[in-house]
Amino acid sequence: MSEHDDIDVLASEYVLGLMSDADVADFEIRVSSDADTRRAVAGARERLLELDLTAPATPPREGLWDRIEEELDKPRPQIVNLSQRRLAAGATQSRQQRRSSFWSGFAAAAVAAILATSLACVYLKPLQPRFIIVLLDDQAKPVSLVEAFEGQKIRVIPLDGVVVPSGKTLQVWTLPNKETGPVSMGIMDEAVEITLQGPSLPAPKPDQLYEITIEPEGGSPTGKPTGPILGKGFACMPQI
Amino acid sequence: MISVAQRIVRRRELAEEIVQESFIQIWQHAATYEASRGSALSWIFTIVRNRALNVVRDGRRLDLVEDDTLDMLRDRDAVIDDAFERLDEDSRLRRCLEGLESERRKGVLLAYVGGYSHGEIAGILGVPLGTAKSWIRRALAALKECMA
Repeated sequence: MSEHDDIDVLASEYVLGLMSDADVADFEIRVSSDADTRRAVAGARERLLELDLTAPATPPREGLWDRIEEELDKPRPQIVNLSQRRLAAGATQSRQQRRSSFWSGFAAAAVAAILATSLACVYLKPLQPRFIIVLLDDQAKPVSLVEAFEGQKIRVIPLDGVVVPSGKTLQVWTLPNKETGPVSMGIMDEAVEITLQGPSLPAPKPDQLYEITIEPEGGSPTGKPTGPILGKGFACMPQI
Repeated sequence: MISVAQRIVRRRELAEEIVQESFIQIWQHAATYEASRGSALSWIFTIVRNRALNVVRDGRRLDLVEDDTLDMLRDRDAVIDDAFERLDEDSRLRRCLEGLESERRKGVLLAYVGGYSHGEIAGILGVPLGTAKSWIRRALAALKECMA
């Protein structure tokens, strides 16, 4: 077994949770100091992630989001940091306004969605999209992730539970500005990850609207959204 | 997320507790995470799995299953088989897992999906600890090779 294989096996054992506490401590030092080891851990996680995605969706029982919200609502310095980052990204509200409107203005389920948005902004660095959009349905449940790259290329990742109704097509839209109205970025016949090439448009801006609608087979007959909205969300800049 | 935790800790309330703690951890550590360690999705599941593992390593799972061992065994195999069966037909991971000898595949799935330790897996497979460790190591190396 070569040394390279060895890193991968160790990384896999680490990811599987098979290491002793002492070995975990040693290995984590290696992870923090060595890029190859980090890559090996990331690789092992990505290889096995599919098994997590096979877990059936379990709707949380009443009160779970409330309890999470309650915990998160306790003042914590990290939350302030997050607000500062949002401010740096161009938000104009004061931190205080941001916090108070944040906590009072959203349903509990939306907290989770916003958390997902924040995470997507911070963590999807390797892909380097210009924007990330978490599309939420009318219950504020995340239904798809959209990554917007240079040149109107977007990657759409439908989340667990999204299906294309029989005889229908999902169509992805963006709203570059009110005057232009919604513009089709492409259609999806299956609820699987897809990269779409949109038409020539101005580069997307922060908070630009993206949405997916359910259209007749082959896409909207009018060139504008006609069907029910599967989910929508706003462009959010990753912190690269 | 709840199901991932529940596969490991079994009990629904405990799984929800883990998800609750995970969300808070995810939120609080958002600023310190390094993207080079994997995608956001894998990071989120890592946190959930690690929290669930901590719970079972503390012995809390044992408290739950003493009274109904046979059901527990049936349930354990069902959980593992279900995770494997739910992999997409044309998934590469599925194909690579299928390429492993069944006991080695089971070892990997017991560890990842069920959160079992080397010692527990050796017990389940009825082999010495060293054998279980080396089977899993080889299976992991083969998976890496197969999925490269």
